[in-house]
Amino acid sequence: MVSELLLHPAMLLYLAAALVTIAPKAPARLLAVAAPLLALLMLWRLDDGMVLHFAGIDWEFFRADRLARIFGTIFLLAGSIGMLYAWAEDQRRIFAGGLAYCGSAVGATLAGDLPTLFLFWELTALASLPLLIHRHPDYGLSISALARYFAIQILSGVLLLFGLAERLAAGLDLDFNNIGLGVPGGLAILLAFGIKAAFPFLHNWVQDAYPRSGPAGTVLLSTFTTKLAIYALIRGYAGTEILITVGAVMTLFPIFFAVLENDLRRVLAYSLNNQLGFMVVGVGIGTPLALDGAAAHAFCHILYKSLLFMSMGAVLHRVGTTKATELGGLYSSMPWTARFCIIGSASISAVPFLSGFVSKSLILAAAIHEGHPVVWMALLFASAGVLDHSGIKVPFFAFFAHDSGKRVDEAPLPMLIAMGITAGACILIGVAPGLLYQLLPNQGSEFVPYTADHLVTQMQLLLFAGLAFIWLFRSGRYPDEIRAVHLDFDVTYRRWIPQSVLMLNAEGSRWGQKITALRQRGLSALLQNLSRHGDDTGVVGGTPAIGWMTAAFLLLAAVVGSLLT
Amino acid sequence: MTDDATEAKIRLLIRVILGAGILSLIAEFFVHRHHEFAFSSFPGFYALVGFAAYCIIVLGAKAIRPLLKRPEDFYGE
Repeated sequence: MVSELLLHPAMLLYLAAALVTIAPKAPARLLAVAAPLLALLMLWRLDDGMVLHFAGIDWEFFRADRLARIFGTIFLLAGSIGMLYAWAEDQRRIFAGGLAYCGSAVGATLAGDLPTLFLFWELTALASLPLLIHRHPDYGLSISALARYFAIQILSGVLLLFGLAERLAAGLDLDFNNIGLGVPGGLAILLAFGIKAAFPFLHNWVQDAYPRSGPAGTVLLSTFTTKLAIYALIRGYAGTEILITVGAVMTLFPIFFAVLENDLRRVLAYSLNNQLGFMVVGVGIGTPLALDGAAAHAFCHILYKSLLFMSMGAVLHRVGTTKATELGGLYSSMPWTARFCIIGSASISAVPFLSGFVSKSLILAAAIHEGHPVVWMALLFASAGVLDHSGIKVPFFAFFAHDSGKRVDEAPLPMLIAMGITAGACILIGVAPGLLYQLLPNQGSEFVPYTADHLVTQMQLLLFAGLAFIWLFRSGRYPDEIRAVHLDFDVTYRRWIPQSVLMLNAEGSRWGQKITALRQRGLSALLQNLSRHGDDTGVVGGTPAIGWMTAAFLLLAAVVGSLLT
Repeated sequence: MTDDATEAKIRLLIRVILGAGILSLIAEFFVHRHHEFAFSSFPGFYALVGFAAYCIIVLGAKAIRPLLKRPEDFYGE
């Protein structure tokens, strides 16, 4: 059993993660880049169907069908490139965390049953934490933010476990195949996936947490968790009709925030959310073409989104901020970073002969085939939005626009090489889409992206949206970049609910007395201890952090407890 | 950045994009267009959607900004 386990790609990456923490620097860096590639080889060479037996359960650890393989492949490729990019920061925490995170995501895609999925689902949350322990020049290190992120990830795991228990109680099997909404546990598991896929109102953790990490940290974060959720939705909820609506709302809702947001890496986090919407629509439509579209779009999206995060990470690395108000005119300092950023921007905007065009087309075509005119219009509308925030805003305000006067060095070589490889992949897939289509679960359903008709209409859409930008910007109608917070749904749990609790907590009230008594009974010592470690916001910031973590663990304990009894 | 040479380059770029846009409108009459839905079958549909959607998104966001805007240190972290 042990020798079999060593042949699992995830285990190889865990082993590598352990080694990079102790090996000398030079071999550690090489290992970090090589390990995901070695795991990729294993993924394609190993036979299907590794089952392990422990704790009284058969764990199906290795189901490598076409769907699992395409997601595993892109996770491992992006993991290797991300590790190369991380050479510039050269921190063991990122190498180890990144490898373990990548391994957990791959482990989850290969899980053949729900208990194994749950195991890796939680390990993904845990392994991503080291990437978020980062002292950001603008945001510092906020323990509260870290706790919010972790609590929400754990909540997703708890829901998954709850759904699993409901299935068990109803006498259903625990294989991870199509689940659907009509069975016990169906809703809980959908919500578990929905949290990590950033469904509307469950989405804020992405924009809250991702921009706080360092350059390489955010690149890695943007790759795994959300696309793992898309994989899980394709596997479990293909053809679940409500997802068409959910996905369409997801493509639209974040656009407006992306237009207003000042931090360009947070703009990219909103843009990531909008891209997930396209994939969720594909899952909801559920035909072979639509599911291929969702998988293809996830594949391409990981590449161009990491490329965009890499370019903005390079800006953060050199300038120390990615706030649009502080940037502009960086083209002369960082011309290669700017060029790579533009390739990423054009790819996400679905410019023909780049990757986004050949994957998004599958989803749009499926919406037409299945007769969804409203959804199709929403996706076209959202495509114009993508051109604005990721296609124009990010490169324009960073590298051009008004010169900020900042003069810095070009990005370090490892960052440039990582960006170059990723940009090359975006172009390759755009020029030779067959390379990607042959990997898809249904081999692209014989879709032909390059017809004269399709090229002309797409160019019309992009060029006239671009002309709209020119008109709005030149006439002074384009909204200024300003240093501000724009309230999103997270104001409920970051402000309104805690404030209501504080009001209940006010001195004199019965609730207040009870809470004070509880606090004095030992929590205060723990609180002071925690607030002393790295949290700039002190005890005030530490209190909600403890609350969040306690809530998360209580939930987990409650569900585990109910399972055991 | 706003010197004359740069401004001339920007004007050239705008003309190129405008020219390409007009070209894409003309090209539509020379390709066999597959009509997705009845309402989308008129020529220039995509150009109209691109331009209108872009304006609605940007001006719409600008319109809701006063409702959502808070000081940068609103959350105190």
